[in-house]
Amino acid sequence: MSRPRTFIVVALMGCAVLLLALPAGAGVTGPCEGKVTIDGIEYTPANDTRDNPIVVPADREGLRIPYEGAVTVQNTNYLGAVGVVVGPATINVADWGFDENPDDVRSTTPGSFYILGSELNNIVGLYQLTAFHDADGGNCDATAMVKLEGSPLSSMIGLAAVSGAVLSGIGVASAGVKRKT
Amino acid sequence: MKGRPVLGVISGLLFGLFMAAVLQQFSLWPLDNLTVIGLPIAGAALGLVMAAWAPFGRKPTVTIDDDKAGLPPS
Repeated sequence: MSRPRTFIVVALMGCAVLLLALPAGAGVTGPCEGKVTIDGIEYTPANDTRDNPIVVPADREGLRIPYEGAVTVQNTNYLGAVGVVVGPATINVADWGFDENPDDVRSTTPGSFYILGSELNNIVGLYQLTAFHDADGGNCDATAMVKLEGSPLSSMIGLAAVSGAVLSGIGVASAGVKRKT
Repeated sequence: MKGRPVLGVISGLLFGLFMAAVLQQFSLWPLDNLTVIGLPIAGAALGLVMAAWAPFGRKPTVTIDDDKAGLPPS
């Protein structure tokens, strides 16, 4: 490949990267509201950016998480789901309401809470969540950013990521070594 | 191109993917389109640039032949 052609290819790749830099989500859209309290800090759908995430502490097993949620429209025959964003895909982690649900319940029971088990013990990092809730009266979409605190180097995923980055970085540098003729 | 473009593109793609995972694990950036797709593309581009600029950082060697340069023998 000639040098000008190489730089055209590189420039096109750079444009593709810029096009992928989409703006951050806007919390929640639609007639839904909710909040969750973790370690005494109250979080709302406004916690949807990297700088302002929902923080789950490293010592989280057995953590009691009170939550509240409500919809302001008729909430019959609802269904919804929440998923983790991985690039262009979303991995579904929970869903609700796929059976018939004729009761027009519009808010969670006062005093509702969730106790975290050991399911998140070995998972750290920053995760973008998306959720939706569709009902007869309307629908909502929401995004949130969740930070699971802890040392990345204490998990297999973190160690593999760092090792892989170092090794492949050496590979990139080796591309600049002259070929043997 | 005197470098290794195939090695550069493949290791650049992997470098981008692993960097996306590193940024996510260190809570710096989530696994969104920018990192999962953008970083591997940028990594491949970097590998291609490295191959195009090979040999990286090496200056050309100049040899002077005393006879042809017309200098008197010492």
